[in-house]
Amino acid sequence: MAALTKQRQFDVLRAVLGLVEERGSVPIAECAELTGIPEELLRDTLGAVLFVDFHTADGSLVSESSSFLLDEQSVVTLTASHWLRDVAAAPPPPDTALRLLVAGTTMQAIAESPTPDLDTAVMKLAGEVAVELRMPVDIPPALSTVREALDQHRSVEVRYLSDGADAPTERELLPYRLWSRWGHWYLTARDVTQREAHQFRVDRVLSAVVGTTPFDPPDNVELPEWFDLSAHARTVRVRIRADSIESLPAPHRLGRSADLGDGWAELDVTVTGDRRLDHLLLCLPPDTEIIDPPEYAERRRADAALLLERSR
Amino acid sequence: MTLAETCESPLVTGEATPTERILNLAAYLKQRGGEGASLDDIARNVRGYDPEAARDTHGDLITAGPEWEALRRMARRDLQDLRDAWGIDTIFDDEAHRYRLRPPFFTTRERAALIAAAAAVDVEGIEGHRGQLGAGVDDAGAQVVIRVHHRVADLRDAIQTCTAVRFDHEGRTRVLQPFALGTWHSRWYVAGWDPGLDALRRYRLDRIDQHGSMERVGDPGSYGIPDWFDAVLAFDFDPNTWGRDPRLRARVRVERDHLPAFLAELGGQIVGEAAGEPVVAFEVRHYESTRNRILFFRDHVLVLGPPELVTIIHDHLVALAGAP
Repeated sequence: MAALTKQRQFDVLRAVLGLVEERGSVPIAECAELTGIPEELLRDTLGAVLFVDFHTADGSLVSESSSFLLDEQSVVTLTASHWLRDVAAAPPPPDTALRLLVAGTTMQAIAESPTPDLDTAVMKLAGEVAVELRMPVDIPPALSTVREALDQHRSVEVRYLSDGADAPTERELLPYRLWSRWGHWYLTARDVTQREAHQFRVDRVLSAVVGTTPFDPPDNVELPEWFDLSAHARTVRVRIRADSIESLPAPHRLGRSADLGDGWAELDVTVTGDRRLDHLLLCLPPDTEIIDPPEYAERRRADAALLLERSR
Repeated sequence: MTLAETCESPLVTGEATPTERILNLAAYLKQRGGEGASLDDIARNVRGYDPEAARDTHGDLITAGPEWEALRRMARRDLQDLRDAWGIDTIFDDEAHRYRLRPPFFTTRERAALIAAAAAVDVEGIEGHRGQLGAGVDDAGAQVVIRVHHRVADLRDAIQTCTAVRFDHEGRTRVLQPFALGTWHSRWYVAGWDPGLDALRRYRLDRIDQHGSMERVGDPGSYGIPDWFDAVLAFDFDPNTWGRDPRLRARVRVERDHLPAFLAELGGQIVGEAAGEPVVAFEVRHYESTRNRILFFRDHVLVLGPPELVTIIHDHLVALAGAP
């Protein structure tokens, strides 16, 4: 089998040693798959780093070999530190620096205790990336209790205010996984009265205490890529002053706008759920004309009258 | 027995490959630390170099001639490889004729913290390549997923080089001198100076034509980011931060169960209680958006004052209720 070029050897070693540092130990078969070279050739290539040594001026042998080991189970293990990365003076490549900056900045935002090493690392990365990044991830008050229940494999008793609901409900949830996406924290959990798990927004948990029901969380709870809310889409077609479009309450989706002249436009506005539809209708300027469906005009009028009545 | 514990391997006893020699050189320079190493030291102690290179009667390397030149070239090539392939850089001290390692970019603890962050936060949209820091970590159990818009890397490069960009945004072609990137409510934005509008502008990246190109216009370094630019303010989209309406101090009664959502939306401080429910006060600089955001909470929020704000909401509802 042809030997690897020097550059290819570097690439292979960098990849394998980086992987080993980040996971502690990796089977050589996985390293071979990662690098795309046969296992035997990889063993030879790894030899370059497994047998690093040199002599000092007084003749004694110094070795870095103890850092990486390849054991009889064909597992590459890091025992001390990745000494090659320890002496790397160059900053990470731009994309890596950006990726680490985003991860590090987010981690700073969610950390529950001081992170001095992360702080200095992020500062160095920020200097390299030279871009202002604000990565706000709010920490809901109930997060720590939910996390505690998850760690203890116990239920969590919550008061939960669903989106658009007027009053909260009391629930006992079996927490499967806690995760954050799209700037919010979610809990994948099963209500003890139900058979299937659902997603709960942790910031909508008004109060939480660790419950008494023990349980074994299932393995491999996958994060949803997205929520299919298309069944809840509500669309209204309006004639509106063009300069009012920017003031429509978010989130919404705008259809293609038809210019009616004199600063007026006609377009579809889509929101999710009846509560957001009612909110949208209430926020439209009074001179906005509701075209379709026509019954939404009366819906808006009646809702405004109801709120006026209740505010008295 | 581990392979690392034996010295029987032909890899040790045989002639060093270039890769072994280069790694040995890195390890040797690391061990030498601030003292550094001369070419003579390297030749004597690093396997793969010629320890028999021509020396004078004192045993010192003769710093002239083809053997010395070959040694010097080999060391230079190896140091270049170390820099290019491993990011390990050296400084040559002209006076002492010694090579020293440049200080590391990250400490071991900083690197460990970043690796932990990469495992906890899955950053989608920027690919990691094998061997790069944080690219080998197992992030299957990551708690946080952050999606980075695919234009971010391109705009970051433009910001770094101070190069204006041209793109189509909501049907219009814009030229922007980008200053900063940021997020608001999970959306990515770019802020910068729009010379066509002669104004600071922010554009949402997912509203930039995804199929069109983003072109660089003008030369790198053709503008500077002004001192007055405030990146924190640039990505604060709360209308009550930048609104121009005469300032009001709102006081609203909020039903306790709706308080977290209200504070998340409008901010403010709890300043007391009314009818057993908390009263929240906050600054208003944008009447229309404040009215709209309060209306989301329907009758779970009651505006107590000032009278101007009460009137704004009341008159709006009256106008809607009276409409056909």
